[in-house]
Amino acid sequence: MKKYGAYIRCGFLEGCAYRNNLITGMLANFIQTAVLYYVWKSIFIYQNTVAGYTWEMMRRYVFVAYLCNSTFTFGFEMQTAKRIIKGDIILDLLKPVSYREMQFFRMLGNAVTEFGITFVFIGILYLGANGLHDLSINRIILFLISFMLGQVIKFGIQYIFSMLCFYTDNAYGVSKAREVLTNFFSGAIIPLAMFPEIFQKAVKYLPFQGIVYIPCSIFIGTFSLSESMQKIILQIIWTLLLGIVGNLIWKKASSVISLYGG
Amino acid sequence: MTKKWKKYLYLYWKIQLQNMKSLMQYRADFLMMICFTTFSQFCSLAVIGIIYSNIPQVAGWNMWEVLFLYSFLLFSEGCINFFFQGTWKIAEMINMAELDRFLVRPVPMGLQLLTARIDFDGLNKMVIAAAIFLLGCTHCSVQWTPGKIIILFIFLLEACIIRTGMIWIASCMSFWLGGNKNSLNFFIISVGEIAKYPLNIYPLLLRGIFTYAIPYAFVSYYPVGYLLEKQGMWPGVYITPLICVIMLAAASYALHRGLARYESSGN
Repeated sequence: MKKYGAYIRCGFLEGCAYRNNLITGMLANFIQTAVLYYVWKSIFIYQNTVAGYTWEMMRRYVFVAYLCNSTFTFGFEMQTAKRIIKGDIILDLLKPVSYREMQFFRMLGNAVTEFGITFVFIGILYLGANGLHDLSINRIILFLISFMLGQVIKFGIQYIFSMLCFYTDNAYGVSKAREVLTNFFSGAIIPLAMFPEIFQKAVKYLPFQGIVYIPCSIFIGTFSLSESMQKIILQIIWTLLLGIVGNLIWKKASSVISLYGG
Repeated sequence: MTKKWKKYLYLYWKIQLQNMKSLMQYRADFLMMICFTTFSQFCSLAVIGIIYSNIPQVAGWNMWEVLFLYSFLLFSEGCINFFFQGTWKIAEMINMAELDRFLVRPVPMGLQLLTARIDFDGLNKMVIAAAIFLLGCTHCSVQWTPGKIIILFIFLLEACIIRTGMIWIASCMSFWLGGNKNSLNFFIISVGEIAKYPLNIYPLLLRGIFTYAIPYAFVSYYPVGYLLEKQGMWPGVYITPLICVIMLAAASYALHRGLARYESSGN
């Protein structure tokens, strides 16, 4: 456990050292949320409900979706790719910690700062826009559980994508594709309930919904309590599945590394 | 004077040709990137499509008009990616002292920095933008006269100049910020999200920021609004050339001040 603590600390310090990146990243995220907020606001001027969502619900959805999507966003594909190209990855492979665990705890340390700042910031905005009503303790607890599982799923997806960097040098493309895919299919931009039929069917069989849509729906109350439980179980299944797939791909990918000396 | 510029143009072409050759090494990457870009553009369009499948219009703009708006934004992005991708590398080059190599060459710094890299992804983006543009404008009731077509090209040029200037200035900030990563240009690109939708849906503060501080309004909102004959676009369209000049001046000023400040980190 001690070695993981060291990695968490390392990630935390890294986050502090590059605070410029952290701040601009958060600001960019925030402006994108503001864009969505005002797009929805101007839509709800024309009509009261869109696919079952009222403006009150949507207002909360936008903020909570931002919170769910704020951490673990930048990913480590670029970093992995750079280490592979430079040959530094061998240093990671030699360590007595599995590569995945190392990345995970590093990201966790990094996310602590990000999440902390975002949480306070969004909390204030949320309360300012929506007030305290409709908040219940059970839902908040369920939301927190679902939120954490969502972050683990997000990490699992990033890990699998970062494995692609063993085969291509184009890390920017990989991380961009992953980001777009996650944002779109997780419901970070539009609630999945508004998708056309075909998409909705496809989304049901994808892990992405666990990142934003499930925690958000639990929080704003579109899922009943029993439904929330089912969805959380679904998230757990996805977490395990992504873990196993990640392991298999890692075994294959790590065997193709050819290092250029160092 | 013209001879000098001719030489620069020639050099630009030569250097980019070399960049292209070096990219040929990574053919699989090239194909992958094309797939990724096409896919992410598809997702962006799907977002617009899904929003509009539920409602007829946003603040007086229908779907085709918003696509029109989007094509301007995408085209200018593709233009930066293809012609001036080198701007992205400035931060890394300062950090690794690669700039020293450029300083001893008898070619202007700006030219060398702009041509530090080429990205075919940009070409793909421009093609997609053209397709979206055609899709959008066949469904909008725009009366195309020769004059309007000329204006369209001027607007596209202006959009490219403004956006290149923005990225350039953000990248030049690395001279002051240090570090091997500059997130300011990522920031500038990602807040471009705001220009995807008509500016009149935002509150005054945001509108002010994106007109005067980060001039995204002049990239898409004003020119497209003018072409679609929306109200109140005249002043914006007239100021746009001025904004271009200011951006160019600011960009060259940033580079000069930055270079004056540059200290090699040694290697």
